[in-house]
Amino acid sequence: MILKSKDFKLGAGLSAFCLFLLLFLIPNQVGPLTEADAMMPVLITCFILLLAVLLMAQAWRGRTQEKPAEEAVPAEHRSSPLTLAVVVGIMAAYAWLLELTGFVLTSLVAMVILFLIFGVRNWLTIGAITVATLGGLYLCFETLLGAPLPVGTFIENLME
Amino acid sequence: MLETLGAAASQALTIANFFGAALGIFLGSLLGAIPGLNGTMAIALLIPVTYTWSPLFAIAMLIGCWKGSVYGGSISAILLNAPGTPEAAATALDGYPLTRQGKAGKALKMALYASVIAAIFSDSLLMVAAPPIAALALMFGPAELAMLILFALVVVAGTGAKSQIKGLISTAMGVLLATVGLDPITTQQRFTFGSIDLDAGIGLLAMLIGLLVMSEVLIQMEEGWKEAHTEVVAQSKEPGANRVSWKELKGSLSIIFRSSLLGSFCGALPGVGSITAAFMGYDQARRLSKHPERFGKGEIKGVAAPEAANNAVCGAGLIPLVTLGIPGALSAAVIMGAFMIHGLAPGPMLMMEHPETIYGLFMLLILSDFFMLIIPLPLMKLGQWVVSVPRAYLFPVILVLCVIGAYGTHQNLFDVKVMVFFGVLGYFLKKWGLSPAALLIAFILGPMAEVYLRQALKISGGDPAIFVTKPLALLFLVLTVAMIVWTGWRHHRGKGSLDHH
Repeated sequence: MILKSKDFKLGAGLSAFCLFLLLFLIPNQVGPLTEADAMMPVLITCFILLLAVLLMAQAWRGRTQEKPAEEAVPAEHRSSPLTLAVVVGIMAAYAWLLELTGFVLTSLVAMVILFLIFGVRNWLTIGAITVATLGGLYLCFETLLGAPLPVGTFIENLME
Repeated sequence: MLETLGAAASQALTIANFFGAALGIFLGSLLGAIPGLNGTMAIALLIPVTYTWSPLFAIAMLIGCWKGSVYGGSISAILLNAPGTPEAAATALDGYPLTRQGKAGKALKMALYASVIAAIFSDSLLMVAAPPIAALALMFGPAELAMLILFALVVVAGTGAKSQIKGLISTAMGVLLATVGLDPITTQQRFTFGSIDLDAGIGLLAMLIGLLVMSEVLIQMEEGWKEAHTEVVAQSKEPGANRVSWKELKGSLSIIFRSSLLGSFCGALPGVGSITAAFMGYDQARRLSKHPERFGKGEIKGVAAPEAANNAVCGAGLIPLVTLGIPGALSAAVIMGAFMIHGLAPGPMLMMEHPETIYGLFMLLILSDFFMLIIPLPLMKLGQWVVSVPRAYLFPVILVLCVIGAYGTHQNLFDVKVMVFFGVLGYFLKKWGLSPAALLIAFILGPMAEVYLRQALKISGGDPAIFVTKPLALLFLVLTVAMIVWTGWRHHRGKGSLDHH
């Protein structure tokens, strides 16, 4: 029953997204639906819409109804949804802050927070792995590959 | 031909390239041995480091890494019953019982010998089969190529998804995402939302790292990553327990060759992959054995068969990639990304335009098989340490590597945001039973499909009958329909996707 409703919701969500694409996004972001540029996006969107409807129909008929898999791994060995959301948030902040605070500072802070989230409490281990990883990456990109890593506008202003 | 081979040898057989192949095998074996990391993740993270290197050096290293990781996966499967890579799961069936008998050294060495023999077999097959297939593919026009890619897209839809419909949805989403950027024919902007960063389309590497690496970390976090105590069994003091005797190797040779043939066949077929090959190899060895009852209890042939089969997939998996530009498996798709980043577009023209590079690559592949015989040996001693690196230490490092890897190729911070977006999308795709692997392969094939489709329609003046009047195009169309019907029938019978053995 769980999978049935999950697949139905997926099909419904996809159908809504396809309609949004066909009625709004493709005309605005590509051009009229009849033009050559829009041929592939329109064809593929219609195909996904058809498949989404089929998925809903299949879920409705109970074809994909299966028993949910038994939890093989005890709960204490898994991360909570909140931890997962925090890690995603850190990664998003990391991506956005790189421009401002640069590779070294942002990566240092992000790595330390990630270690703490993953339950590492030994500061010596955290320090050693963080310095080795960031030092290695810095050497590899800046020196060996000649690919400059972002310094960050905030750090640049401070240095000036 | 001899001239080309000579030029290829002089280009490929250099100390630097030997080092590249050896380094790839070392890194692959090491990373593949760590449960939680797999070959595809390792290659994806290594590609950005290689972008300033020569194509041969870089691709030899990445393919070496692929091969090394396939073997590396068996180290943790044998020592801890925790396969480092999914394809090593079949190896654990007899490998771990051997470890419990104190014969871990024997199992690891047999896995290595079987892997090397299979890899040489498979690479030789690639060298022999690739040129005629590429020559044949050169006769294809846009209509044939469009239908061939359509067929490949339908085949890859079976990779990793929970049902045929979901596989097809994943594939179609990949093709749709490939339309972001400038139109390949008219250069009209599509889905760019006014951003210059999206004019060139979605960055392949950023997407690849997000979909395959970051999402995998998120999934592992959710599915269980905090290691329970793992029992490490002491090795037997008997000298025979830690080596493979000539008699044992000779007795396993026929199984190794059969599995190599099976693995090569699975590798050459798009969408089948090494997991299926490994289990099929194990199954045929058990069924054809005089003592099937010994399998699962520490039978050395039960280690040789799956290892030979999954290693044979690597070389043969490059056949559709090099000759037709179609990546048959996820690892091949990632390798295709590496080819493209280094300015080599896989397909029949590659053999025509860069024969020295391709033959040079073939030579390095065979050579790397011999390196595989030497390099992983010290890892066997390090094995127990390597396989037990806690994921709490591994995950932060991997996530930082994801960020730097996405940034590294184009030094564009926008790519890092793209990577994070696809990391989250990949997580949800897996949660919903969709296939990031199929999406990624379709994303790579999408632009080609569109160009050939539109070229064919232009030639015919917009008449779609061109796809049924050309015999080869019609053949691929019939095969596509047959594939959909066959997969649907299999699913209806409850066998699931091709990957779910």
